[in-house]
Amino acid sequence: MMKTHNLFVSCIESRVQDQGSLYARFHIGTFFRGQALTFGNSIRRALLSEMPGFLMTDVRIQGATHEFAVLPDVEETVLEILLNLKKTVFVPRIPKNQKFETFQGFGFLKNNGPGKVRAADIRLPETVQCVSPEVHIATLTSGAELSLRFNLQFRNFSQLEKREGTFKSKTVAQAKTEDGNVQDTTNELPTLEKNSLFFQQLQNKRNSKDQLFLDTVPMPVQKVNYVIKSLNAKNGSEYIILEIWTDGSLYPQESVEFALRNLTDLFFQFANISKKSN
Amino acid sequence: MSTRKSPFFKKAEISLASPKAIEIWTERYFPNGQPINEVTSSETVNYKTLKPEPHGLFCQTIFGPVVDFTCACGKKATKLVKNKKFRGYCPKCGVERTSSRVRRYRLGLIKLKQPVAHSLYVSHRPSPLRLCLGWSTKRLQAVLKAVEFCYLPLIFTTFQSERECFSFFPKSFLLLRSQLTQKNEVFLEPRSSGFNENLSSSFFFKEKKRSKRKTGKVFPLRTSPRLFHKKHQKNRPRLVFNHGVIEARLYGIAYDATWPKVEEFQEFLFYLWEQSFFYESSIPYYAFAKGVKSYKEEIPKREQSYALQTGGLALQQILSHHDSSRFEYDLIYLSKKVSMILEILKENMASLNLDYEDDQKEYKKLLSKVKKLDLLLLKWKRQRELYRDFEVGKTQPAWMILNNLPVLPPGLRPITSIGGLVVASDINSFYRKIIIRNKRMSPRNNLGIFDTTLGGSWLSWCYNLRQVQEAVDELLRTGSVDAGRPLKSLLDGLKGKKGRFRQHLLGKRVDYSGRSVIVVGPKLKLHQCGLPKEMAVELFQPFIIQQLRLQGIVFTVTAAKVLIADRKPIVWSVLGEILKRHPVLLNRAPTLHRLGIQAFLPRLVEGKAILLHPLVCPAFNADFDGDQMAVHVPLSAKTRAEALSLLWSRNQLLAPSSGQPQHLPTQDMVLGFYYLTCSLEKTLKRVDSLVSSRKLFFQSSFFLKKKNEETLKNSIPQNLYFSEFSQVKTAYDIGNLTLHTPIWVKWTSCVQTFVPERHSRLKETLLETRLTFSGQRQTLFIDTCQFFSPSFFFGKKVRFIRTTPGRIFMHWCFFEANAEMSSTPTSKEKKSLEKK
Repeated sequence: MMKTHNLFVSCIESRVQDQGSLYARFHIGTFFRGQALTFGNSIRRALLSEMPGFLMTDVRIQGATHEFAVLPDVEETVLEILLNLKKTVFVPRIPKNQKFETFQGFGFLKNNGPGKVRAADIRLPETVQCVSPEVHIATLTSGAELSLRFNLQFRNFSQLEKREGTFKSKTVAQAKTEDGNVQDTTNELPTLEKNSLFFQQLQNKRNSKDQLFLDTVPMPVQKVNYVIKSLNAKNGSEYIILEIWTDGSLYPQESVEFALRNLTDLFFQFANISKKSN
Repeated sequence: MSTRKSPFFKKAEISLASPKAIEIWTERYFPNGQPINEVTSSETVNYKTLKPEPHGLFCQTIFGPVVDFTCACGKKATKLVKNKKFRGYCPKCGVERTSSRVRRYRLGLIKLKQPVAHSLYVSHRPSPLRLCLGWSTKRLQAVLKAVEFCYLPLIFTTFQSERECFSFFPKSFLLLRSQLTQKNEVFLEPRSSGFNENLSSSFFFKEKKRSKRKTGKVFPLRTSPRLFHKKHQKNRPRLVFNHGVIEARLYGIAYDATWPKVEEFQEFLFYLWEQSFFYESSIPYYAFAKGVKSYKEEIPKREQSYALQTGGLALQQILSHHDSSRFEYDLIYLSKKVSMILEILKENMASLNLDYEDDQKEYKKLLSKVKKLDLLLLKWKRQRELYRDFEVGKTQPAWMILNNLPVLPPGLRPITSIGGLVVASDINSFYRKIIIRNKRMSPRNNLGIFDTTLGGSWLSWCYNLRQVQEAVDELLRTGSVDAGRPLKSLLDGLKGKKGRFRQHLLGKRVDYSGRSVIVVGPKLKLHQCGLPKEMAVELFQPFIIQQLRLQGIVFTVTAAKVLIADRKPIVWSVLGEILKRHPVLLNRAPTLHRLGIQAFLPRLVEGKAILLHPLVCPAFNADFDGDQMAVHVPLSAKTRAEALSLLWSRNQLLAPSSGQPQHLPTQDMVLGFYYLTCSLEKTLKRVDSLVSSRKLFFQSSFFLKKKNEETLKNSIPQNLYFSEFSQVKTAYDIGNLTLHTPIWVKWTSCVQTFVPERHSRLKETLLETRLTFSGQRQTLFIDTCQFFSPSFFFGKKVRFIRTTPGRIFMHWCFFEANAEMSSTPTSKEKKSLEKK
């Protein structure tokens, strides 16, 4: 069995990168030979795809019926504005220890030209905060008027999965036909988000023509690297150097903690099931 | 003398040696001045005792003692020198008491009584000797074998030319005062006299000077050495061989003249051309036909000789009278003339009308003429080059004919008994043959008709000459078959894979070298190679021991060796430190050019194979199907510095032969690049599928919906827009994109596309332009779409390009990886990319 006194998770380095991105490096160990790869890969996947975060689901811009439209006197096209909006990062404004489960609300932006519109100009609900106020959204010339409204959701991967897992096969097929010009990845990897509440909502709101749809996946963790190093060549013990870049909405330390708990939950459920079936 | 353990060579030169030079190599004297270098007896060793015979091919006097510091009498050298006169030499047997090692260095000498051609210069094609003389190969061989003859005028046979004298006694010889004996002082004397300052010293000046003083008369032109007169230098024989000015062949008499016939003819000529002496002038025949030889009354000395000569002697005489600078001048003049003629001929050819039959004939005739002249020009060019080579190498053509034959030191051609059986080197039998045959020859150049050395017969003399020539040929080149076994000549010992050069000098096993199979090391840097741990420990053992002792980990060499044998962890860390600044040389077997051996900084790897960077493979012409490479360790700091500055692989970016880049991706790398950069669109045959996707881009959502079903069938996701590369990367990391998914990315600077030819037109055509009421402009191509803001000149331009994540990663690897080096180690990044 594993010797417990050898286990360690230590943050070696942590710093703020440019554009508010956070970086941290961890050393995690000790593993027996081969275990490090199992651990490293699963924690990487968990960090990348299971982190909860705020998400702009759909945007409504006054005067734009589709995303390739052009607004009068605005330098950027609608497409660019959408891409810029995607760069904004939101965090819940709550005390640290409190758990933030789900949230749904709207954000507004209304500006008259001339001037530059930044993320700080966005009006947000009380509980939400923008951590990237410097992000440029659009440049308005004189006489321009930009007013937009977007739907903001806090999406928790594990929660949704537990609830909606059974609808999987049906909804994927639906999603494929339905999601139109939403930036779409269904045929590549039918990720589980597509089976979620979100899609049901999406189908409901479909009739309003001027809605523009954005990304459906929250990406608070932008990049994860891990390298396996051998600690002691003789007994084959290894450790992992884990590098994490986040978009600034959460600390890498938090994300690691969260991912580990998520993974534990996942494996624990299956352990229970297999015990029962035996 | 040569007891030094390793003589230090600055350079080795292969060229012709003058007969004098050969003599100097072998020259050694007794303390009393008696020379000891000539091998006169064909004996080798006593067949019972295996002791060398005196004056034979293994003579201890000539070559040195067999046993260290012991003479032939069996007396050991003592420190007390009893007889100062014989210092080091045994007074009885004359053997120098030194180390027996000298038997490997000291050369002997065989003085050939008749000069013999060096067979390598005769047989090798194109033969230099043949080119010098301008003869055909057949004639040259015939003359060397004493079958054909050439006429040499008297001055050739009687007197040595100025050039020959000069070449036999080179200037450097005068400086070797220490080696001079009383005999040589003769040659120095005329130099002090102001009589003929422009000519080099020779024995003949002295004689001439003396005789002139005595007689006070000028010699008759015919027999006097007029060569040495300054005035008459123009009268020196000027040789243009091909035109037969001087040498007449005997073809007029009988082409296949046998030796007896030639002998008869010789005697006829001899009597015909004989000059009278003073006392004979009353004989009527002489009185009107010929000039009188000498007015002096003295005992007649016959200077007459056979007019027809053959063998190496004839060649030597001709070559030594050769004035190469004048000959070269002649050749240049002639070739200019001929090339002028050629031009005229070519003009003539051009003017001919080939429709007429006569002109056709004429044309053919002219063509053959031109061809012949072209050949002639080529030959002259070669001759000129050859003479230039002689000039540059400071050698003489006459040296191609051997007067002195050096004898290989006996240590290199041993006779030993192995298990009672006497084994002799092949070369000994060749030397024996030469010595025996040489004894039968006469040493004189000018053979009179009544010469005793002829043995009464010209015929037998010719036969002997041929025998000597053949014996020397066998020694130098051809070898012979003796008792059914081919004997190896000197040339056989040198040439080929088993020869001295390739087997022993170049193919030496080297210390501090290893050899192993190579495998690819894709993670290496260009300046690195992977060295197996086991190999590194062996190769760098002295360095490890040194370091271990310096660091005070061990105190003795043996302790260090034990530590290394146990492969203690400290050894690896020490070794790692050493390898950081110690390059190794890698070499692959056919080292055809300079890049066949390159220096790398080694990295320790597990296993037993050497890791090689894939980009340096073309230089080594290596692949990984089991190729082996040798590792060498430069030892001193100097060599290491040299290896890094000259041989380091990162300094060899361009091929020295062509200037082309050396490190080009090949094979697997190309395949990898292709996989990384290919797009799913490529899998679709029809281009209109691409176009339809573009239409989608601008259509309303209703239309889009319908179209989308169609494109989903094609399983290509449409309309993925990203504003930054990092977003693409994130999406890829999460797994939403594959490497080949077509995406749109905002990108403002240049793009290079590789479009197949049939698509190229499509690429360039403008698909759509939109202009809004507010003045914004959008243009759309198949691969790019551009947005212009209203103001025409200062409008911001935004451009989206169509690409794939794979292409973005490649771009990122090339252009942005370096920028990010400071913040993150790129190798890790790449690894995570490759893992997917």
